Amino acid sequence: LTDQDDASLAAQIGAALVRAAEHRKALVKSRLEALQARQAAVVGALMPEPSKLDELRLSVEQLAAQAERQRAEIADHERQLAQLRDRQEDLSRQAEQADGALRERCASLIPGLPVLSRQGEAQWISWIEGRLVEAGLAFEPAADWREELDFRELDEKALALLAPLCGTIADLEVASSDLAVARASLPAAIQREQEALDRLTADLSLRASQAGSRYGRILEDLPQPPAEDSPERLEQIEGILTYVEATLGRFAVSALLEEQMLEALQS
Amino acid sequence: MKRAEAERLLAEIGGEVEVRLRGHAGLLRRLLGNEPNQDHPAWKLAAAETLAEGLLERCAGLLHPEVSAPTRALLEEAVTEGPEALARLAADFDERLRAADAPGDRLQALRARRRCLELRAACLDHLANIFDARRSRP
Repeated sequence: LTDQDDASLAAQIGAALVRAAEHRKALVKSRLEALQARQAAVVGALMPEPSKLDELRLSVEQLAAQAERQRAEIADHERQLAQLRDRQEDLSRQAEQADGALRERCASLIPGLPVLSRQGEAQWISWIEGRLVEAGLAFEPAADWREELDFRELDEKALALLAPLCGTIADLEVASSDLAVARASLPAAIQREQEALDRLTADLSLRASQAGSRYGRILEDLPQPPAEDSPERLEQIEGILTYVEATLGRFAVSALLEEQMLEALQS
Repeated sequence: MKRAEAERLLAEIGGEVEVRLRGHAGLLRRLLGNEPNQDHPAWKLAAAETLAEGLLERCAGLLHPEVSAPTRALLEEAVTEGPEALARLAADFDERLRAADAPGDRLQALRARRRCLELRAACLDHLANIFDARRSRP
């Protein structure tokens, strides 16, 4: 390389350095501008513009005024509500008093009503008349009907209509009566009886099958209890069986005697 | 309207005060509008009323203390409705009594049936004795 070449290279390097410096400067400048723009945007976002601040201030004032008005309205409503509550309590008291008075009035009128319905009145009048006619008496006005009914024994006759019914009611409803106690024990007694009957039926069936045709038609001809629980039919069958059992019993005794006699003759 | 019906209606009125007010007002209207029976002379009505009142008073004495309130009410109702209602009630209770006695009848039938089977068993015993005696004969 010559000195001339060195000078040219140095000039080139110098020029390149100058260009690099300029480029760097331009880059720094552009970055700074971008940063400033971003900063402005952030500040703009955080800090509203003065005109908007005024709007906000106005809006806040309006809201505060509205809230004040509403507070006043609420207070007014609460006053009205308290008044209405008082009024309601007053009306409730009045309604209770009126209801009590109505109830008392109703209760005071009830004793003046007849004991009998229209139908009851007609029927008892007819009944009294009928009993008096039977006794050859006329149905006429009386000064004291209690005495008159007692004198004519009509109250006793009417009571006679009730007495059997009262007895039936007692038989049905009085749990401590002998009848009720006996009735309460019936289900268990029925079950016991049914079980005994089932055992007896099975035993008889076994004995009949074991006997087979040994007794000819005698077993078949013995009357059977009927399928239905007719008391009359059961009583009839029981009567026949009682008679047959007694007859067979006599035959058995007779056969035994006969056997004993034959043994005596043979010995 | 008869007394017992009005008493029942009065007793049934309950609930909120508005409901009670309406109920009492309605009953009062009915009570005030209740016309006496014009179909019979007053003295005949008095005779029937006196007889029924006496019966109702003595009803309580006739009934056993254990008889329930609904049954007492039924009986009193029948008295106020007349002898025919009493007869119907008596027939109804007779039917109930028959139904209540049905298990007793069933037990009697079972016992009769058992006696029949016992008699059949006794007949079998006798037959066995008779045939055994005959068979043992040389």
